Amino acid sequence: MAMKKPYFSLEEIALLSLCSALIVVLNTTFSLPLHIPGHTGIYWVVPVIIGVGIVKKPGAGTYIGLISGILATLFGVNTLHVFNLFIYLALGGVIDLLGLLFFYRLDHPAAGFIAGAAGNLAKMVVNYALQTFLGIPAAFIIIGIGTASITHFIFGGLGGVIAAVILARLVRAGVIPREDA
Amino acid sequence: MAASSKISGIEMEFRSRIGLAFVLAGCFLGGMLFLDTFGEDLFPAGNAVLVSGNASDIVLSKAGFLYGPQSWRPSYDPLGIDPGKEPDANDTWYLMFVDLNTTPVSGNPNVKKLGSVRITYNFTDLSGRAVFHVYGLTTGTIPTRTNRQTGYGSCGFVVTGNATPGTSMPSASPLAFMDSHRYRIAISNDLLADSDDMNPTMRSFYFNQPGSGQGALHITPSLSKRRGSVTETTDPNGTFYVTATGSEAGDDLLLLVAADRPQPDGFLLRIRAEFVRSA
Repeated sequence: MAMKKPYFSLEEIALLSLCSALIVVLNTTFSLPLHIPGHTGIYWVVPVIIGVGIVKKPGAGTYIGLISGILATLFGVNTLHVFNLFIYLALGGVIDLLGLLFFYRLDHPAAGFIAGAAGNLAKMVVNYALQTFLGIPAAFIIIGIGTASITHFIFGGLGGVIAAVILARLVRAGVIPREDA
Repeated sequence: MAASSKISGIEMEFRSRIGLAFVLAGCFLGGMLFLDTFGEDLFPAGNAVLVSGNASDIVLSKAGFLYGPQSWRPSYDPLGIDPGKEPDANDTWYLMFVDLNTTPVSGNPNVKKLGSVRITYNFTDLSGRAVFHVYGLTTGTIPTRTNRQTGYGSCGFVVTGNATPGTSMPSASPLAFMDSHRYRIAISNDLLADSDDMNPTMRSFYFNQPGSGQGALHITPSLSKRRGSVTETTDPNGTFYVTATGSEAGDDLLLLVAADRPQPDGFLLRIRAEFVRSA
């Protein structure tokens, strides 16, 4: 009887898990004193886009989001605790979807920018939705939401461009097969 | 030839999808800006509901003005006192800090249920202008919070009285500017020691960079405008609210009351502070 081939190979699982861990490590050890909403998106989105850009399979981003969400919950990265899972899943899921829509050409700077910006915005929207669900009045949430959206968009986009540049260099160096890029 | 046209077709599709994604992102950002601009009308905050057990009732005389004459209030760099204005060397303000023993954040500290602090004031024999500002005390390395002094989002509350000015403020002496950007501030009302200082009369301010902590707290005459505004009034009795919009509002509030001239001996200020939640 032929064994059913797993959806993700062992190498892919290892790579995606490392990307997941990298998100949590960056979140806990790397701190930019910018005090601008969403500025952490500049490094949050990089491992997700690189993981999705290398594996090129639907579900890769969601897998990264799930694992990093579980790790963030276990390590208590912020006050949302178990609800962190939804934030990380939203980030991974949206980048997953955009990777699919952009034919996994996330090494293209424009595609990287949109994927990063959309992922960071998804994180913001889910965060606000959770805060509203947990009892913070909508009137508080919407104060400054325009500015916060723009800064999330810009910093997520910049992170996406960084990821795209790294992916392009990996393609050029032959780490990712060119025909798949 | 066929392969080349297929690649070209995919390239075209890729570019059109990128363009569409940018358009959708623009629409989303436009929607968020609309919500930011008109959201307070779309989601009215409702009425304030008093939460029992979080109230202070304080009466202060002119002896409460412990600092001044000076033209600035504490921050990383000196802030002006007249709302919306930078420090003016010609100004001679007298300052008192009042611990309100409440905060706009209550409930589960992890969930941070936000409300507001309603402040009711009653001046007796106020001479000239009195300005209210607010500070949020913090712990650890989090900088002290305050309302924004100048530019977009600046707020404050100004009351003007017509009593004859006094001749001196015997309790007041100027606050020294600290290069360390850390201040030890004497409050004018005796309370229990706070959790950080364990001292009933002194509180600590800490600012770590220019602008730090500004804009996390707001002073507003109405909960329908939570962002706050600069309010000027001649009514010696009135109400305003302290609201918070940042992730960290501080664990106690200090109210700064500044008067622009010496006050008469009959000067009294009654302040009632209550935590209220929007209904």
